[in-house]
Amino acid sequence: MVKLQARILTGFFLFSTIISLGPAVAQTTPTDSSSSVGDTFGDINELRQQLLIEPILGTRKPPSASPGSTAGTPSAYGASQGQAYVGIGTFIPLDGGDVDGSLSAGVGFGDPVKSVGVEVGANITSIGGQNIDIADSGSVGVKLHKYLPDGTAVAVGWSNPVKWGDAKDAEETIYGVVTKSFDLKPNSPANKMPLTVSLGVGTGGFRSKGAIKDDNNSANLFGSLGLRVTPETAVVSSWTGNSLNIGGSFAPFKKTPVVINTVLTDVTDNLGNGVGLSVSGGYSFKF
Amino acid sequence: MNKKKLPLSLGLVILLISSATTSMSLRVNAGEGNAPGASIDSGSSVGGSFSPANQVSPPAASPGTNVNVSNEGNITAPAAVQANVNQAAQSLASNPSPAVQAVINIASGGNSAGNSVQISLSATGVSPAAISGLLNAVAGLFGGASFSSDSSNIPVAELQDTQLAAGTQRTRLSNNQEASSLLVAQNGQTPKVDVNQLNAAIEAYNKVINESDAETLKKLAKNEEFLAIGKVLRDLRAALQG
Repeated sequence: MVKLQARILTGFFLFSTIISLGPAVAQTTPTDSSSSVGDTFGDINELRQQLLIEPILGTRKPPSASPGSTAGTPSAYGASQGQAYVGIGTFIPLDGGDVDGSLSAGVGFGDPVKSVGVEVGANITSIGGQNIDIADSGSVGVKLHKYLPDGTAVAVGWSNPVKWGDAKDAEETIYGVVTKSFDLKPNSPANKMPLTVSLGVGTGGFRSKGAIKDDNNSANLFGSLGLRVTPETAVVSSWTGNSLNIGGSFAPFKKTPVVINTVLTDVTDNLGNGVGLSVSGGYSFKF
Repeated sequence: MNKKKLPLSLGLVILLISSATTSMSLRVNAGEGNAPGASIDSGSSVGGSFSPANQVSPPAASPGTNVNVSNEGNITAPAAVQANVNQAAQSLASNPSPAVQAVINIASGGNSAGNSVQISLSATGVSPAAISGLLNAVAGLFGGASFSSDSSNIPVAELQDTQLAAGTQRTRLSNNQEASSLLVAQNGQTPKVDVNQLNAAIEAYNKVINESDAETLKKLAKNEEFLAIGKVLRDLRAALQG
């Protein structure tokens, strides 16, 4: 403690000495360019600032998260290098039945703009329950995605090349999807109201009701529409190949990249299991 | 996506997921796939956050500027604001100094005024390319103007005698286009300012300043023509705030 005080006092003394000698030194022995140029740099910078005119255009920070454009079907957008996500989905059958849930996590590689992006995602299809069977069942999938110069995105995916537990019983789900966004109000600074359309073909989870019944893993069409009515809110709808889902997607926090979706599933009761309420959400981050 | 608050935010999300998992109903499926309504890709977790279009910093109007900006950076001004800018141009043209008049001539497509200003700016040390960029941008300022409307029959000499008495040699008119622009200005017709060209001109003007060394900058600060360009751009820019 004593040593520390002594050092502080010594330092203070030296500092005071330098300060008091400063003007004399500057007048007699220039040691840097300040004596020759004075405050020219400061004057020039000030002059430059005086002459400059504030531009009309600037840029605004992109939002931390954007609401979705689908209601349970994939889009052609995906994680790229340095992006990752975690998510959870719950399903409540409104006409009776078992609650369902799933967890998701994924990471991205590559660059879909310059080359190709690769999203690798794991879906845990067993969470909670009486025996707390977390991760007893699940799959790992991959999606290659490309963002074209005209704003169209294309992707191909295989959602369950790796699977375990009850997920082993699932049919192979391989799909291709194209996504394109159209600004309905392109000149609106607050919200350009993008309508995002996705169209795809896939097997497995996208099979028709008949194909499911016949245990036939044939390809089928799926698609989605998403209209961003505000920057934080979108109305979304999907045809999964066997059911029509309708709902909303929300990015409620300005600084926290969280997305929440509430979707009514199979609103036409095509599968005969009744309408369900799906609540899902997730968090994205960079690393 | 905010890297700084990642640990706290991620911790909260993990806590939320853990709570949801442990509190989930005892009657729960361990199904073959995701919960219905949740997609097999990142869509249900991140929405459109991974879309490249949602990750770029879109062009936007500077704070306090009352214009609309498209994704491509095209600027449109609401009618009232456009009228305000046009009025500012009219005010500039109503009683201009010779140098400002020269700028207005350039903005109206006057080549001879452009030549004289180019010579003047060259003397300051600004590169020919930068000068050309600036003058070309200024030349389109009144791109949509109807400056040539009623004046094609007005003799240039008459204009010079009656309306340009205060003008210097460098603002002398050499063609009917310049004559018409001046006539419109003097007669009170309101020019139409192209706000996109105004933005281009401001950027070109700022580029000249940012690329100039100290000596050039000092000369520019005293150059009548350059200051006149700055005044015109500044006055029109200020009118966008209305």
